[in-house]
Amino acid sequence: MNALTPLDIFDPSSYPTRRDEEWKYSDLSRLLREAPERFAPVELDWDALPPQQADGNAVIVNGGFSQTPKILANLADRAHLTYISWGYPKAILGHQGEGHVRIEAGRKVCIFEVYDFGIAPEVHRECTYVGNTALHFYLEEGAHLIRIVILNEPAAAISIRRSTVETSPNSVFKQYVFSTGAKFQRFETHVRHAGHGAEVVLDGAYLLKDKRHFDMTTRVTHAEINGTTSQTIRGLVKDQATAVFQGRILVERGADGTDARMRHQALILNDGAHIRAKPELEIYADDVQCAHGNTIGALDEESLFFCQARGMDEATARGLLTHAFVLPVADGIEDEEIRGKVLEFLEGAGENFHAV
Amino acid sequence: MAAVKETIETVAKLETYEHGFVTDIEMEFAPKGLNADIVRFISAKKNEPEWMLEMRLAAFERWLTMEEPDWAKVNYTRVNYQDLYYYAAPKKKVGPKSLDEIDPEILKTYEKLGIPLREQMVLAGVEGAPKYAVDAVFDSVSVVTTFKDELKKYGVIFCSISEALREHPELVRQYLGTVVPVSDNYFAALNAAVFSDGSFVYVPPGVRCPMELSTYFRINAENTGQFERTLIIADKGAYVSYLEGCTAPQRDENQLHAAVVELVALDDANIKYSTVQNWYPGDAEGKGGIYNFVTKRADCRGARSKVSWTQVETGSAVTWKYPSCILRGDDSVGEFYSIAVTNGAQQADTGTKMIHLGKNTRSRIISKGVSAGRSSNTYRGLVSAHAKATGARNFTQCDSLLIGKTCAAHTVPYVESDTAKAQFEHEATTTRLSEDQLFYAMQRGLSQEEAVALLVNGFVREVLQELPMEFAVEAQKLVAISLEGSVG
Repeated sequence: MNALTPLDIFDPSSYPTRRDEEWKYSDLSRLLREAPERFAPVELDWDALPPQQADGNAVIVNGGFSQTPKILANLADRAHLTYISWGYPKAILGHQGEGHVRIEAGRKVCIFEVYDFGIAPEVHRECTYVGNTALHFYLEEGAHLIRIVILNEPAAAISIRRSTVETSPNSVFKQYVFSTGAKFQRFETHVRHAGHGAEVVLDGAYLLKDKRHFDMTTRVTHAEINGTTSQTIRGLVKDQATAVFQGRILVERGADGTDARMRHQALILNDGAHIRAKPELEIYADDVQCAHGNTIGALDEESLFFCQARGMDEATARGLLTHAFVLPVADGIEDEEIRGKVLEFLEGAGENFHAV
Repeated sequence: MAAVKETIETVAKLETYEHGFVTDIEMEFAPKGLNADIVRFISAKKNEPEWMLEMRLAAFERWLTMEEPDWAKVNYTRVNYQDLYYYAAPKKKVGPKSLDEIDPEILKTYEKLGIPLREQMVLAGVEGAPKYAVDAVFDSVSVVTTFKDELKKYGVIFCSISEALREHPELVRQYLGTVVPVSDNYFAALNAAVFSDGSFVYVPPGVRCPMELSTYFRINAENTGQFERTLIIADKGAYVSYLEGCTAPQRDENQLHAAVVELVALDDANIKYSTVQNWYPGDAEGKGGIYNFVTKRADCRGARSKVSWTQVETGSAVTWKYPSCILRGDDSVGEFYSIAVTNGAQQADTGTKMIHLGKNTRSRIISKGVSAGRSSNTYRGLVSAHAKATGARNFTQCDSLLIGKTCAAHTVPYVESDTAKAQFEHEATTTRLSEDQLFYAMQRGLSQEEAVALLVNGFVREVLQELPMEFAVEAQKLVAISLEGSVG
């Protein structure tokens, strides 16, 4: 089943440690030694005053996370949700929330989620918060859900964003995640092919610098026949940053006709940055096509030379090549406006990535 | 193709486990169970130096505090460590000088297994036929080592580890436990405490060992565990190729085999280690069979050293085995070629670790898993590069083949990189036997079993090529036999 490991940020005894295989490379208990203080609930009456605009935008602050389904129900099929987490220097405040979203049969929904911070840029560095959120999606027959997520959180934040997805026959779930990491950031997605012929895409890109940590964990279970899963994760790390990719594809007995492909490609730009990858296949059916690939390497010196030979200075050439490395992930986004916003984010992230 | 023909012939023989017989000879056992006295008993039995006993006792103390690992994807009834014999040796006259003094039943056993224990048997063969020096380990002790004298002319030491402890204690002390420390893991600690025999090889600087060395392990007695310890040292510029084979009788209860193999390669040395593991796999229902919990590790200590592991794993009820390379020396090379075939109720969790510490170290992993019946076959591997391992390079390919609807194949690779100048590539695929190819082969007159054997041998060909020739033929037959009854 799509069960997430129980985790209550206000109960330190529930924090996973390195000894939990699923959290082997992301040791929460080491970073978070004690429970954060609870955010004072945001005094807003969501029923009376849904903070939404006619164009499908909603801004959700801290504890309002669990209101997500209600807000989504009120929004158009194309929703832009901005989750703002307030952080304060020195004080560690936490919030957590969970929400269940059902996409009705045949409906096509596109959700654009942005996880952002609500503090002036000059105080970002010291600002911290602990966010632990979970969204559960149920796709009815033939439903489409396109989910685009931007994780733009401050360097000191501890953020755990988890979701589960359950498909029905012939439904489509496509997810694109873009991250710049945080002190500790985990994006975890569990997908269960509970209906035959479902199509799942789980793409993502990350750009990590300084001491940021990003953990992309996915668990895909094929429980029904003829499901397809395609996953491409691309990323860059430099300085002392850590990128973790844990992907698992499980094909249950009888899930014949499964076609599952997983690919993780990463570049390490300097010694001392870390990449931990664990792409797993667990197969109990024989009429399947499953493959995974994982590559880790340095920026191609020949390409760099090629660019420089054409008059580019080294910094520009590096910027161009690294940008070109993560860009293809955004190409899969069909919605032009959202793709534009993602490209804008990637460009900003790219510039910031190379800034000293 | 002769090899194909041979495969087909072997399949036609329809024998499932031809090594399942028991040899009836007089044995000497230590009392059942495990405690410090048993450890002392084993050490005394072997006239070991004091430091060895101390090392054993320290390992035993450590083992008592450890827990049996449970992270592997295998399910089995836990071993009752107090219900085993830790020492079982054929009763024999003190130190047989020649083969004639060895119990003829043992000789017959090896004859039946096709292992040449008489040097003349090998020499009497076709002119120019390659020679094999054999160390034969029967339950807890080494019964004979052949070609010792000829090897001595080259300065190569090849003997049982008990003999090495008596004759070359300084060499053993220098290297034993330096690759696999006693506290490395649960089974390694157990082995360090109670190991009874195994092989020792030392190849001096610049010597290319003139013949293939090989050890043949045989478990015979009931309720015994086999704990062998192998130590191979290739000094600067030396080369050695070592083969290992294993069989056991067909019994209803599970038997434990917990070995430790340590390889040390100094500057420019090259060690090739091949295993054909054919322990009794248990019956189709999963009754009986060997638990194969083995720790194998190579330390490429010197610059430009190379270690190559090749394994063909067809036997054992449960396999837990990860032959690894620590690539410490600059420009050192580690290779791992593996075929793991599981059928019936067998479970295998096997793979490798390539730890890149030195500069420009290279490693290559080719793993082919074939699962049939209700078996489960897992590749588990780690490739890691330390921040100083600039220029490290790894290529990994893991392919799994599924035959039938009730088997399982898993791939669990761990890749950890801390350096910008390393290049790691990993590829894995899982598919079933192609219906088209099967149809094609059968249309040309092959029976279904022959066609499967042919296709599977094609699938594992890349690894078979790495084995010494005689072993390759043997392994090819073994793969075909192991898959018998898996289709239709």
